[in-house]
Amino acid sequence: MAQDAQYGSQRFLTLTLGNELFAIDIFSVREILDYTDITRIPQTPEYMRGVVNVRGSAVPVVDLRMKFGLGQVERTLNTRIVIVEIKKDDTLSVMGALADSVKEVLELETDRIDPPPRMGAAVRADFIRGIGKHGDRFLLVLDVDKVFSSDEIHDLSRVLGDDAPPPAQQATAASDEDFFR
Amino acid sequence: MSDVDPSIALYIEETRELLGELEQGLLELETNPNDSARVDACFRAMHTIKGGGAMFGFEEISRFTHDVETVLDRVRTGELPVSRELLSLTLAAKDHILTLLEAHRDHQDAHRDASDKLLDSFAAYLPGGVATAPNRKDDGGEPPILRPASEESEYACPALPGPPSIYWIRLRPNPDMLLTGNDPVRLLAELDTMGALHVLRHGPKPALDSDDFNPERVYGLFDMLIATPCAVDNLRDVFIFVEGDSEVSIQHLHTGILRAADLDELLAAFKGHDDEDLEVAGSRLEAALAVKLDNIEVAKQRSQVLKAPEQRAAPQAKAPPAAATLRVDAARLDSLVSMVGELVILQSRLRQAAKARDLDAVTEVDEDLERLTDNLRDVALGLRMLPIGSVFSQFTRLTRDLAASLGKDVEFAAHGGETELDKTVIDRIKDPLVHLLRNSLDHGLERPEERQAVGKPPQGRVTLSANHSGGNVVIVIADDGRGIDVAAVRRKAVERGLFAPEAEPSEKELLDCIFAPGFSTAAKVSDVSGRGVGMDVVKKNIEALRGTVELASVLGQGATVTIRLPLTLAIIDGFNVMVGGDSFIVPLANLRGFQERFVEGQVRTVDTIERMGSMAPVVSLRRLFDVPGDQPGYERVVITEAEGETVGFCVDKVIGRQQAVIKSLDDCYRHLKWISGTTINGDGSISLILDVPQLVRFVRGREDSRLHAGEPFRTLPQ
Repeated sequence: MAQDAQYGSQRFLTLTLGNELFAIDIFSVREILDYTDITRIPQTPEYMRGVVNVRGSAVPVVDLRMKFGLGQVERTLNTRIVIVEIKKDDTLSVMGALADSVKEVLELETDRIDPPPRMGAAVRADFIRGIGKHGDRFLLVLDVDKVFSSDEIHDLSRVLGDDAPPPAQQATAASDEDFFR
Repeated sequence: MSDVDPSIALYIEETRELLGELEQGLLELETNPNDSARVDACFRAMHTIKGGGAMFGFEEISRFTHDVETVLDRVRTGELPVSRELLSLTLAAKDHILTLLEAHRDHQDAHRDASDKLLDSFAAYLPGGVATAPNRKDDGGEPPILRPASEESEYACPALPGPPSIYWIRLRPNPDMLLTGNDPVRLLAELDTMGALHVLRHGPKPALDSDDFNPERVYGLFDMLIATPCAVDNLRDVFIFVEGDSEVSIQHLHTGILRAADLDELLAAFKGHDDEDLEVAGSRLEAALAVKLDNIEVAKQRSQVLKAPEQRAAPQAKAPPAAATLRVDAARLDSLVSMVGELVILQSRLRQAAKARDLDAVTEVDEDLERLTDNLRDVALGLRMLPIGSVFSQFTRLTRDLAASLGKDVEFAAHGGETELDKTVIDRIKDPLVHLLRNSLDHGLERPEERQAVGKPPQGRVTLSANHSGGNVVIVIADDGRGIDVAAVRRKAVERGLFAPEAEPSEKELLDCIFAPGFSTAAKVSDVSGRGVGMDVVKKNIEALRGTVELASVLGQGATVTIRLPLTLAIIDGFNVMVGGDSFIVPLANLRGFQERFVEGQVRTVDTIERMGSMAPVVSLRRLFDVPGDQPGYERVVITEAEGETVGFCVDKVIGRQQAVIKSLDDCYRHLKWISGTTINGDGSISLILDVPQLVRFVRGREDSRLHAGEPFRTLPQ
């Protein structure tokens, strides 16, 4: 991503999770699928929704909303699965992200992306690459490699075990919305 | 060496293959020393390796191979008999070439001592008993050098003894040379047959499109450096017809060897000095040469200083394994291509039928497509299939060396080398097989005198065979040694607490103990085997390939190890079962049958069921996997066997038998060991393929922790 920075601006795909607007670097997005049946895989954390068939290969799908503690993505007409490519030790792995809706592709000036606040953001600070502004709305630019890194997923699966989904942090989410408005 | 020229990688690959052939040939010669076709094949292999070595910069290989080749040539012409010693020596040479091949090209010098030692041994077989290979120790340590022409046949002129000479030849052709029927190109070509020729053409030449340009004139002059073993008169003879009207001078420059790059550099010194007369040009060249020689001297000294650290660095400098390439039978590729052609035709037929809304035609296409897909799958999977013989041939050598080191006389026979197996399986089955063979030789077979004492022929016999059986490949390793002492195994098993002293385990159960970690009945530990590590690893490796391993033995008559492996790792045969909305594949290899059960009220995760007169544990997959949905009152029980244990799994429905193409699951699920992969069903949905042994282990671990946690409630409310 460092090499993109020199161009001055970057393109992002924006998507919504609940009321929050998130952005993913367009270069890590492979395709966007309509919601299809997800095959559940037992004994995984709840935000790992399972696998979907993307042209003959089983791609894991992460419920970003649940992962960030923003409730669960409900299936609606707008629900999409964003297939992203993640670099991991030279290999490219493919993951799906469940999003409430996918909005648009927009360009952001690199220098307009501010570092994330240390606290108070809707999601953990290390998942966020920065905060951009588009029109009068704020965007949380996600660090895709971090969000989907399997180590991260792994750790959580160990911590959570079989029980307890991550406690929904409704309270914090609400206050974060205040933060962004 | 990933940045290396692909042709070099190809050479390495090819040489590996040639060395394999060579080894096989040598071993066959051992049993049949008069097979002249074999000798020829060995010689040819050696010759090709040598030629390629020189071509691709493996100077040490070509230097080393030279003498070996000479010896083989003498064998070929009948001057030398095939002896066991000679074969052993040649085998050692083969190993050494492999070492050289795998060492980095720039670090081959580190192995030079080993080469020289082997060459000394070979010297005894050479005419006059002296190594003829140019000893690089004397001619300076700067590789790669221009190879001296030690073979008379290499150049078109008789070679003089001693190191080659480098001559400077200047040819200033008469501009009208072409009109006299001479051609500088032809002269150069002739020179080229006499040694390593480096040419620089320089001097004025009008542009091709200028009016001054006359295609029938020769422009400029040629400065050449040639490194040749031939006499100067041979060179002079080349110019015999042009000497009259063209200017030719031949001067001796240097006796010895220079790198090709150095020669080119020297030539470059002439550039732009085309009008200088001979004297000036000559002195310029000599000055340049003197500088070059000084540099070489310095480099030589430096390399001597650097030698020690370089030798230490050599092992790390090993070339990384060559890129995984696969040689495929051309016929298979052809059929693949023709099938793809058929596929294209089918597609256009389908389009027409779809356009015309002709259901009959579509059905027809579907039938054809089904047939084609089946064939296509078989051929595509066949591309990965290799005959197992490539592994077997390595074992011939292994048993030979091992038998010699153990002081045993062993006849090794391999059958069914043409049996084909998936490349991945072949790569991974080798180590377990090596281990089993070692066991047979070390523990199984007795020494010749012991064998005679019990009335067996002194020569032991180990056979390795492979054949197809159903969808499996069966590999059998059998020996006629002392067999396994079941009583000793029993003692040891009781000692280790695997069985209670009063238990009456069956012979099969006892033999299975041998696969337990750390189990060994060997009285003493040898350097070959007996440490008790290994059989468990063998079993684990084979199970990782979804295979099984069994041991049978008759005391005093030998032991047999039977390995069953699936043909391919890409497809698994299994039964599709449903639990709620989840679909799973139970591999056929583990499946033993189906039963049913009626449940009322609460369901326990682990329960028992009567199976053929005994109680078998059953696991409710619904509970285990927390499948959402209502518990039905009637369930099917899939009876499986894993690691000798019968376990049932309760499911809602059994859909039927299915060939599942295995798709591996993403890394983030790697902690779920009981899933061996996923497969895509006909309707696009995904089924999880269960790894039954792992699943059983998982359930057991869960139950244990539950019991140890003192949780009294194994029954959970529905």
